[in-house]
Amino acid sequence: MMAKISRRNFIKFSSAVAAAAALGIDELDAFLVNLKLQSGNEKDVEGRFPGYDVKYTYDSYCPSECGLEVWTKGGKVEKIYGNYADPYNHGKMCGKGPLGCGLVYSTGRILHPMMRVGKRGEGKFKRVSWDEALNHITKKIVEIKKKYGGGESIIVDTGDMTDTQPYYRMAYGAIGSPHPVEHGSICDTPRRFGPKNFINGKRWEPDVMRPVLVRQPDGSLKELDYDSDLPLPKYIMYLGWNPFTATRIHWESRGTVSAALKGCKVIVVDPGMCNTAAWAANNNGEWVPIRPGTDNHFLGAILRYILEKGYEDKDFIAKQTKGFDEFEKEFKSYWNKTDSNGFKYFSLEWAEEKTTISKDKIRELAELIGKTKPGAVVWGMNGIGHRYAGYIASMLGTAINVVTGNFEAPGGVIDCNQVRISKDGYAGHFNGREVTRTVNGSVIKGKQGDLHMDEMSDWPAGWYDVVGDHPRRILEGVEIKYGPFKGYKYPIKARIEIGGNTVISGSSTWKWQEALTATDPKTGEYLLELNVHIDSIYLENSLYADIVLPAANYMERYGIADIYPSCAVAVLRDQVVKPLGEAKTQVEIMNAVAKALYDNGDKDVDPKDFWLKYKHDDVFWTEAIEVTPGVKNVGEPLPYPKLPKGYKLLGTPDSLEAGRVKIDHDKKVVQGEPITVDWLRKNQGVAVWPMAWRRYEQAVQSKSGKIEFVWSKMEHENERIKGGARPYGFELLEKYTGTKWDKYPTTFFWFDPPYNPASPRYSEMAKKYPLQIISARVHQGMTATYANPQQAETPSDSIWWPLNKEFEAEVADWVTEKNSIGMPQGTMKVAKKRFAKGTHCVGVCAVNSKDAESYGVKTGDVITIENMLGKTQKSVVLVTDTVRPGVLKMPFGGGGRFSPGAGTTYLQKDYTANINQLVDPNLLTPIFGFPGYLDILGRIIAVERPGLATI
Amino acid sequence: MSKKYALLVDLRKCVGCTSCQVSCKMENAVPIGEFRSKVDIADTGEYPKPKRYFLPKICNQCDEAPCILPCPTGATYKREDGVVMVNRDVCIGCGRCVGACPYGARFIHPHIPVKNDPSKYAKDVPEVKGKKARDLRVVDKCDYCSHRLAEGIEEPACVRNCVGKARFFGDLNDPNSEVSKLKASVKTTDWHPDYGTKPRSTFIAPDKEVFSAADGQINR
Repeated sequence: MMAKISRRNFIKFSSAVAAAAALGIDELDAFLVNLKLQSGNEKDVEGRFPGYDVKYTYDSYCPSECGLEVWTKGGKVEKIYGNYADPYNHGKMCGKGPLGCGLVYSTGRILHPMMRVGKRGEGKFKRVSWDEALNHITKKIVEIKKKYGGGESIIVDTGDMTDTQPYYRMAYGAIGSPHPVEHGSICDTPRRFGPKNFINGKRWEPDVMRPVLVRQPDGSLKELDYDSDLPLPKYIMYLGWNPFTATRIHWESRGTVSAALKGCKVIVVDPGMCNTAAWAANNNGEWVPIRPGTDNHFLGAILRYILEKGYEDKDFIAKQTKGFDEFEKEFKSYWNKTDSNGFKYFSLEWAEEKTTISKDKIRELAELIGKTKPGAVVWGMNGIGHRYAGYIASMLGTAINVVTGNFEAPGGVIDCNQVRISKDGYAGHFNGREVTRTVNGSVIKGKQGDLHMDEMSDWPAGWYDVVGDHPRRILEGVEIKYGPFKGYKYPIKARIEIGGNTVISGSSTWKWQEALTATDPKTGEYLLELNVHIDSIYLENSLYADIVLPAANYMERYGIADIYPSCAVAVLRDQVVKPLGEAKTQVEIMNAVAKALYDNGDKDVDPKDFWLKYKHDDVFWTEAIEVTPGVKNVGEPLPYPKLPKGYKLLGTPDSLEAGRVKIDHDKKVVQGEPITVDWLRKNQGVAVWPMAWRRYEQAVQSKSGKIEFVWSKMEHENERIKGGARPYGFELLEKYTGTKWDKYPTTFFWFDPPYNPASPRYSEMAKKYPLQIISARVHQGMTATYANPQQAETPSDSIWWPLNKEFEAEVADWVTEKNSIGMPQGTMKVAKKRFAKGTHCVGVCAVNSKDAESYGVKTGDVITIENMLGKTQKSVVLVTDTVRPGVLKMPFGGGGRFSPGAGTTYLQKDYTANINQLVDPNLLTPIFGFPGYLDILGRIIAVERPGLATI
Repeated sequence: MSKKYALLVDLRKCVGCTSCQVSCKMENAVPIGEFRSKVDIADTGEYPKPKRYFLPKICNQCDEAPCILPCPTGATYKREDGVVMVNRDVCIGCGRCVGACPYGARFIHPHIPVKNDPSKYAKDVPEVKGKKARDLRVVDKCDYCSHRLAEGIEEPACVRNCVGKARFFGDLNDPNSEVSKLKASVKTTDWHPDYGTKPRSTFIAPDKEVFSAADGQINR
C-alpha cells in the first residue's frame, strides 16, 4: 500500500491507509492512482515552468546515492533536488549533489572510443569507432584465452560505481573470468570485519533514520519522524567517521542533529576536527583528538572497563549471542600481560599512553557507554576502515554494541546491509561452468570459480577480492593453491576497468604505474597485454589504457540503488538525459562486448544470455529486482501482522499491504506482485517497506543464526586452508607486526599496528620519521568532484581549501546571455576563466600550528614530504588547530592528479599531494588484503614559499 | 494582507555542508566566483579546544535596506512582501548598490547585459559615463528564489535541499508558518544588528561568537 513517502502527500497517505482497509482491491488501485495524482513534486513544474521536465533517479556523484528529483530542459540537466519520496535523504541534498551538472557537462567527459597511439602513460590516443574498439578488445581477449588457458587471465574491475551487475554478467558469462571485482575490495573492508564475523553483516550505523513507516497497534502504517516518540540514541560515538561531509549514509546528518537536539551526546574520536567533530564540540558534544591508528587501544580499554564494572547486558548476551565466554576468556587473557612500558593491556593507563587521551576521559566515556541506553558506537572509513589493524577496532566496536544490548534496539545500532533490499543480476552461476586445465601434465576438470585468483590462491579469505594486490599479480602471475586446480599457474594478461581509477586509489600509485608499464624483457611487449578503461571521465587509468570507451554518466544510465537505509527501500536509477557523445549504458556495453566476442569466435558466449535476452536496460533491471525486497517479516512491531511471521517477503509494498500475495509454506516465502522498473517509475522511483526493530532473524545471518563471538566464518576458512598453503597475508602480518598466525583467528585477537607510535617497533623509525601521515575522505575532494570546478568553491574539513595559485582554465560554467525576469536562464557552456589566488579549493596538507612553528612552516607554503620508503610528495600547507600535533592530514584522491580529465584540479598537480604515492604497496591486511592507506610515517624535508596564502 | 517573507537559519542544525550555497548556484545559474548565498567557515581558539563555526550567509532582505537609496534608476526596490529585488530592465550596472551593501550580498553579474540606456543617467552617474548598455552588466543578488515564489513555491532552493533541515522560509504574517512559530518560541539573532538595516533573514545562534568569527562578506 505505502508506495512512497512524500512530505507533501503524507497526511493524505496515512489517512488513506486506514481508508484503504475498507476498500476492495480494485477500489484500492483507484485510490493509489488518485494519490499519485495528488502527490509529487512534478506539480512544481507542470504549468509553471514551461519547457521543464521532471525525472526521478538517484545520485552517483558520491556513493551515498541519494534519491534525486531532476529538472531538465531541452534534454539537459538543469536543477537537482532531493526526492522527498526517498526516506534515505528525504528531499535533501548535500554540498555535492546539486552540482551534478558540472560533472555531467565536465570538460573531462569521454565522448568517443579512443585507441592508444603512444606509450602507456603518455595519454596519446586517436579516435576510433565502437566497432574498431570492440574488435580490438575482443580479438585480444580471444587470443589471450587461447594462449594462456582461459578467462582467468582477464580481470574485470567494476571500479567505484554501483549498478555493476551487467559488468559482472559480462565477466562471468561472456569473458569467462572467475574474478570480476568492484571498489568494495579497496574500500574500508577492515571496517566491516566485526559485522562480517559477528553476524555476516557489513556496516553498523545509529538508528537515526527518520521518517520510517511503522506498524501501529490498530494495524495502520504510520510515518514517524523525529518529533514522534520513537527512541533516539542518547549518545553516538563516531570514530574516524564524518557523516556531515563525507557520508555514505545521508540520513546520519539530519539524524545526528535531531538526536542531539533531543539530548544525545555526540562524541567524535578523530585526529582531525572534521565537520562532525566541529559541530559536536559546539553542540554539547566533543571532539576527542586521538593519536592516529590507536582506535584499537581506545576501544579495547572501553570494553575492558565495561566488563570489569559488570555493565554488560547479561540477558541480551545470553539470549542473542553465541560464544561470548570464549571471547571474554581470550580477551581477559591479555589483562595481566604487560607491555614494554609496564602497563597492563587494555588498562586505562595503557590506553592513555597509546592514544594520548587521558585515562579520566576514557573512563568517563566508558561509563557513558556502559551505563546509558540506547546508544551507538560507530566507526568509519578513515580511522578504522583504511588501516592495516582496523580489523581489531571493528571487532571491538561490534562487541561493545553487542554487550551493551544496543544492536537492533530502538535508538541503538543497525546493520544497514542486512536489513536493506536484496537485488540480483550478478550472474555468479556462470562460475559453476565446467572447465578443464592441464596441471603438471594432467588434464583436470573443475569449475570456472575454482580458478579464482584470490580465493583459490594467496587470499583464501579475501572478502570482495584483493584489488590492492593486482599490481603484484600482473608482475608475478597467479598460482592456484587450493581446490582441483592446485598447482596450476597462469599470468594476468588483461584488465578491463569500468568507472574506477585504481592508479590513484587502488593502493600505491607508483606500484600501479610500474605494473601497467612493465614489459617482457624478451619481447619488449607489455606484460599486461590488454588494458581497457571504460568511464565517463578521462582519469589517470585512461592514461595507461590501450582502449578507452565512453560510459554513460549517472544521469544517463539505469540501475537500482545500492543505498544503506535502516529498513528496506528500493530506488530506481532512470535515464534522465540521453548519453552524451557515443557513450553507452552498462547493458549496452555488456551486450556489445559479448556480441563482439561471439563474432570473433568465442564459444563461451551464448546470445540468449545477452543481447537476445536483454533488449533494453529495463529488462535487465526488472529481472534483477525479482528478489526484492527479500527481507523477512520479522521484528517489533511486525511489519505485516496479517502475513506469516519469519517468511521472506517479495513484491511491491502495496500488494503486500493489500494481501495480494501467494504464500509458499514450504519455502517460507510470501510473493506479492513482483516489483518492476515500470512500477518504480510510476511511483516517483521509490518503494518503501515498513521499519521494525529487533529483527534478529533478518539482521543476523551468521551460520548459527546468533550473534557470534566465536566466528563460524573464520572456522570455515580454517577448514579450507587446513593442510594447504600458508596464506600470503600471514607472511605479511609477521613481517610488519611480528605476530605469527598459523590459522585465522576465530575469536578475540590482537596485533600491533605497523608504522605507528603505539607499536613497539616504532622506536626504530621514530627519529627519522616523526610524523604520521593520514588521509581523509571528504566529499569535495574525491569521487570525481575534482573534475567539477564548481566544487572548488566549497572548502571542507581543513583539507580542501582555497590555497591555489592563480591560473586560467577552460571550464564548464553557467553562461547567461539573456536579460530576463523569471526563471533564471543559464546554460552550461565551456568557457575560459581566470581563477585568482585564494579562490579555488585544492587538496592541502593540514599541519597543527605548534608543528608548523617548530618546522617553520606557514599557510601557503609548499612542503616536500618524505615517507618511510623514501618516496616524496609536495603539498601546499594549511596551518590549523583542527588537526592534532604530529599529524599531516590530506584528502584521499584530492591532489597530485595528473590526468587532464581531472579538470582544474589537474592544473594544481605540482603543489598538491597524491597521498597514495606514499602508501606502502606491500602492506596488505592479513585476511582481506586491504591496503594500509593510513599507515604512513614521514617527515618534512623541504619548504618552499610561493606565497599562496591570501591572509 | 500581503505576505511578509522571512528566512531563518537554525545554526544548531547547520552541518556546514554547503548545500545551500551550491543549490543556489544551480537554481539561479550563478557563475563561478560569484555568490547569492555562501557558507563561511571560521576558526577560533587553540588546540586542543579549537572551535570551527559555519555561518550560511544570504541577502538579509533588510527592511531598512541600504542598497535602495544609492540606486540612481530605481532598479533596486523592496516588494510589499519584503523581498529586495533588482529590476534587470532598469538596472544600469553602476555598482553603487554593491558598494552600499555592508554584507557583500550583491555582485555585478559577469554575463547578463544591461537593457536600460545608461546615457540617460551619465550626467549624475559618472560610473557609466561614455559606456553603452552592451558594455555594462546588471547587478544580481538573492531574491528568495522569486521565480519560485511567483509560481506559489514558497521554498527557496537553499531551503529545499538543506541537509540538516536547518533553514526555514515562510510568511511572518501567518502565525502558523514555521518561521512565525520559531520566531515566537526561540530567540533569534540578526547578523550585524549594529548596521541598523533590520534584516529579514535571521538566525537561531546559541553561540553569538559565530558572527564575529565568520565576519567576511558574501562576495568579498
